[in-house]
Amino acid sequence: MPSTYSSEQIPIDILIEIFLRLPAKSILRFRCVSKQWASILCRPDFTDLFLTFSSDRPRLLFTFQVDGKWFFFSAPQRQDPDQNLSHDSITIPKVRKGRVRVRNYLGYDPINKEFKVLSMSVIFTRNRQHSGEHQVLTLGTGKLSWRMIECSLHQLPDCDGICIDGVFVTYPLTLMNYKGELGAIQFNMNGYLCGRSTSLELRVLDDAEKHKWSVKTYILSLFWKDFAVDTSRYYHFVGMTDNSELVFSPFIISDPFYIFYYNLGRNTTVRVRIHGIEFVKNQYIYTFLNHVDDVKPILASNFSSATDEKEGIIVPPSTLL
Amino acid sequence: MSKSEKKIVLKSLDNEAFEVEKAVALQSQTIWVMCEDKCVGNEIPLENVTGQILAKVIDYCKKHAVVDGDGDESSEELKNWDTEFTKNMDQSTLFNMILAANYLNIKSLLNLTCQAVADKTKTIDEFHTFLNIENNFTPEEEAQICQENLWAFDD
Repeated sequence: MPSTYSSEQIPIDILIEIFLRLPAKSILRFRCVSKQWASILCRPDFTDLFLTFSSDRPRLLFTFQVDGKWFFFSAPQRQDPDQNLSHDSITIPKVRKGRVRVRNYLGYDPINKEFKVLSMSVIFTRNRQHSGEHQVLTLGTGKLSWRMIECSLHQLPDCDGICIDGVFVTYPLTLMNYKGELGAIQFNMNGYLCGRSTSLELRVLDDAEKHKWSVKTYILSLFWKDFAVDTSRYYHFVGMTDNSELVFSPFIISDPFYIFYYNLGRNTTVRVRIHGIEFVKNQYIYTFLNHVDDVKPILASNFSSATDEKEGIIVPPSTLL
Repeated sequence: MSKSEKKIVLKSLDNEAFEVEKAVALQSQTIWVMCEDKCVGNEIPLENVTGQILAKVIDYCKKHAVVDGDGDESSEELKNWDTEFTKNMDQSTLFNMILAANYLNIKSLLNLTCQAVADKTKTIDEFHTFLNIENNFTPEEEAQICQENLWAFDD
């Protein structure tokens, strides 16, 4: 073996091994390096492998709006005392809407291997709101356009939907994927976690056909004890990690910005500081667990119709599960 | 097993001989298979690895053989050791370590060195120098593909 190397000596499968460990952003950059590498890094076998590898290292995803633009940041989903963020964004076409408000949900269809955005228009009648029209946008399929669908669901989900084994479910409590079963969380105050919350209730659907839930109550007396945090803030429940930790994130960005991991088994809490979003103050922030980087090509030319739209929502090329 | 059977001699491409504990050497699947098949004596010639690289590989195997025996309480220390181990290696050494780890089939070392290379290859310039490749796009093609991956260049 010579003391210096050249790329010809490195077998392609080893180079692939290296690229699997790069951030998605670097892969996209390296597609611009040469024709050979553009074709290798766009091939479905590489992008599938990349997704599998990335799935073993799930990330936290943060999103918030500044000056009409949505920002997306991600950080490794582990308990380092400090985490640094990387970010990305894509613009998708404006929703055709006859009514004033719409709510959007981004999901991944594991059967057709496609990302889809579900947009539901909101109708206000008396003091209630419910959904009117349903439109679906499938990402990565040539020219992007919204497609009207018939849907029997008229209740507007109060909370985010959840995807377990490819089935999209919505429910009035805060839902979670509890070790592959449907779980729901309820707090004793306001429906959210705040300084006055003393307990939380975890329900797990044991038998879906009989609607049989098992219920367990956790006393949160120790939750805030170790941290000098502003207990007047409100926190939303983000999800559960594979280590049986419930993750909580503030509604509003603050500096310093912390998220909390509450361990159900040990009744202990770990606080993690997130760096990189200090430039934003007092904005709503949405936090997601198990964000996976995906480098399947979604051509920007597909999005060009969005450039002459003043508004538009921005979604990351990512899988939300 | 007598004392001499616990030791094994690894001989590099440039004829450097290293005497190591068998438990250390057997972390290499390649050496393990050679020993299982009894196709080698106590001295194993490794024709793809130089002495300089083999010495580093043995350092790694020694460290991991010891710690694995201690249980996982020192895993944090081991992680730090791994980081230090690759931190000051230049690109040429890292690539040779990857090739050695691949040839000797030591999964954890391959993982570590691939990650180390990935961590040092983030920008286009680093990628060009690393793989020594030329840009063969026409300016129009380059503009288009960069446009398609625009957000990747937005820091």
